[in-house]
Amino acid sequence: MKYSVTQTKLLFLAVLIIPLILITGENLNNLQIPNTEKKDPLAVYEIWDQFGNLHPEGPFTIDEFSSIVDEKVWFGYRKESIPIEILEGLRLEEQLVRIVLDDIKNNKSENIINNNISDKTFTELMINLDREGFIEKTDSLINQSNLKKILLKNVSKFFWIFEKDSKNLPLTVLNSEIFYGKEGWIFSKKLSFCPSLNSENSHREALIKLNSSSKKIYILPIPLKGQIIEERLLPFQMFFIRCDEVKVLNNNLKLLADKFESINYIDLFPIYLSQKDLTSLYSQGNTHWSSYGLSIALVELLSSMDKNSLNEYEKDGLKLANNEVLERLSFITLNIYEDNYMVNTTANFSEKKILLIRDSFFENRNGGNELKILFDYDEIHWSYVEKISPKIFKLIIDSYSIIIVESSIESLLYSNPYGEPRLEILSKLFP
Amino acid sequence: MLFVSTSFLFIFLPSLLVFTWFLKRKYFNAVLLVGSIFFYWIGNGFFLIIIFYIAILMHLQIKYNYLSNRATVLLILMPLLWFKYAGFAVGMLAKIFDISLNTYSGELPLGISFFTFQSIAYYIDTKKKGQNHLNSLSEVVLFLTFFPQLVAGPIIKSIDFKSDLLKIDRFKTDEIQYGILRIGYGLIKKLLFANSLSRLVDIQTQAFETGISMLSAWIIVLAFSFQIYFDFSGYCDIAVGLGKLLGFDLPENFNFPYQAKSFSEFWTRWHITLSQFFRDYVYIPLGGNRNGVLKTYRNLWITFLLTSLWHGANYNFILWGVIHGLFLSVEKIFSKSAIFSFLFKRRLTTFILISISWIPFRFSEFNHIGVILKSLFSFSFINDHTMALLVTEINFLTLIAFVAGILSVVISEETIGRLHKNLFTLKLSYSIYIYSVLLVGLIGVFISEYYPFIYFRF
Repeated sequence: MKYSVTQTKLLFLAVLIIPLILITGENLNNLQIPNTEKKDPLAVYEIWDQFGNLHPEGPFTIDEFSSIVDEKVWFGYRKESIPIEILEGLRLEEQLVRIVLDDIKNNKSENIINNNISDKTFTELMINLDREGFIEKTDSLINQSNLKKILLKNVSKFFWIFEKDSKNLPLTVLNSEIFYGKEGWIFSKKLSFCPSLNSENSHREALIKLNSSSKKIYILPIPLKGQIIEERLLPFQMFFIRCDEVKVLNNNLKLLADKFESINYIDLFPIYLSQKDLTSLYSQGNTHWSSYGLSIALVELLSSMDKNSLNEYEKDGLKLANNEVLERLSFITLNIYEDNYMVNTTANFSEKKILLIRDSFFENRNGGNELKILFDYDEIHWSYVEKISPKIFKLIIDSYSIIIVESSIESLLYSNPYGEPRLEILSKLFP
Repeated sequence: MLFVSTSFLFIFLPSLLVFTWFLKRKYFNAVLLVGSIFFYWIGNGFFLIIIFYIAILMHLQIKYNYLSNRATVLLILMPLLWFKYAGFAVGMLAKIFDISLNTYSGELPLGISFFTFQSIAYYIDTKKKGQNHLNSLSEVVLFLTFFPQLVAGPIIKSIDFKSDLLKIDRFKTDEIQYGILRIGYGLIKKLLFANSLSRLVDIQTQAFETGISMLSAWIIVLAFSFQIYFDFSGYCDIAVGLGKLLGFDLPENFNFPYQAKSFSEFWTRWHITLSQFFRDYVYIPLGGNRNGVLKTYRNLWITFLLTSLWHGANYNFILWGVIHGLFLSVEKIFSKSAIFSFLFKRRLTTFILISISWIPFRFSEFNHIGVILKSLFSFSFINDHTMALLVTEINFLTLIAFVAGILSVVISEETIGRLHKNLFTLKLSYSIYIYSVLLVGLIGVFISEYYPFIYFRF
């Protein structure tokens, strides 16, 4: 069929303009949270669908709000005036929370200034001849649109058809933060970092510093999924991503830490590797542990914290596996059930004040909720710890007698070959 | 505003096309001028003044002839020299004399090398050859700001531009469809191929400090070789396609460059308009190959030194130019040797040597260049950390891009042409084909991460 010039022109324009019309329509309904409000990290918000039904899991903090992944399209926001909730990852006394946030804000004025663009309207940007702001706002509207989300979802679902059965090649296209192994198993890209073994001195110095404080410190480095479940890597990945140094480094550090009275190094490597079914320790669509992997770690932690306690885990039915990372990054929902485990303990820490310095393994959805059942604790996420000054850090830890340090092993001990490991960051913050 | 950005594709382009396609013919030039000026302004702001300065300077000089030609060319070059080379020159002087000197070290006006050279070509053609094709200042400004080729070429000649501007039957179905197809090809090359390969090339160079294996080195070198080809030729595809949508025939900048069987042939296939510029306005005016062997080599080396400096004021680009100058000289010296031709004048050999020559183009640190060069021939098969980093970056698109890159070397130009021709003898509708290509390209806009075009730096 031969088209006329006008038909050809109109067809092409339609292809380009229709997405724009859809996005514009969508944004007329979809109110954005102004950045002036985003600056208040303690604020919580509610969102609703097109029929006005509130999201059942709301209200959300800003971080949660921007990472909600489900089938529905959600609109609007409403700031709750009371009660003010504390951000996940920063659960301290309210006064301390304010101090921490003020300290971070003082060190990060640049970012706050840069964020102002999305508060301005297109008219304001045009009147002010803010061309960069105009482009940024336009691009971000399109890039954050549901149209893009729907498109990505479908592209991802298409490639997943091949990826989920692939045993030799990665057959997906969306893998910015993770990579795919066999049959759609995802792994953190940090698996490719391999430590050098000449960091023993710096580790020793860090442990000496930690030991000199009067706190009981429990260090829980969590092995990366790929370090435990190698069998789910593709053959060529298994061949090239081989790093025996991690196990050596971990073992050396365990031996070193055992010499310090106040430090307890909980080594999960031998316990995990001795399990019959290694794949049951982590979820397929998550880089974090499964209920089983978590329970083993919790029993180890409790046994270490109270040597006289009796701790055990037991099966407690089935639960939907937590495949949050796969869902968030690749828009794939896996309805896989895994064994649910429950931890029973005789340990009692009610008279102790415990601070958890945590990474994502003890986020509520990954393990935080289970930990809260076992004992009461306050928490501070590494992202805050890495930004605060030693003075503020001292102010925080002064109130606690037990400190649990949770982090994935690579970030704690060797990060990547070039960044500073968290163990060293922590030792610098300790008084 | 990048050609692959959502603001360009979904807002700027359709808006401009609505006006240029559906307004009366007499408004075409004005709409295109306003659109082009807006395009440059929104990406570069008041650097636009540089283009106005050059346009006014040339227009007045051609009309009133106040200055000598040399002085005019120097004045055209001034912004380029200041923004691109002053820092390098001052830095060199400061090093030599061990003193501290300050100069401009900010943002480089986008496309400055391209529109400066285009201006010089226009001015020389007008003054020396008496070919004044652009009648008014607005035409000169439009010639310099014409957005499809403004930021990274292809470098166009005023005679071709003017003849396109004068076209009466400007829009044809076939031309528009071909334009859409080229835009689709360009989006796929840039967003799906080049951007995927850049994941392999942009791994942290600190990894080099622990040494890299031969395999890692070759993967990085080949990945960059394919990346720069898909990146720049993808950009040029979009530029040519945009030109077609507006009724302009922009010159082709690429002709299967990795099919070349020698360095001299490579330069007739890679960045063709730049090669032609240096041939017409540097090599030939210097005497070309007409004044004996030594002067021919001198002219060749001067041309390549300028070509390398055109890409960037840095030692790594000079090294890149030296490598090309060296290979071209060797080719000339042994041009009559049958053994040399047998061994070196081969597609694969040329491709491998060209790929190696890209190393200083990509890596500015000499120690990194050294590590990769050494590793390429180290016969080290250690399982290095770089390979682990590379492996985690491989996905389906990277694999496809690598295969497409290899095919661009191993499948002959004729076969590609034949395949393309056969494709359209199938009962497949041409429209379905071009819109499928465009759709895949547009999906690339959404799934690809942000990586600017490599040649936007120049």
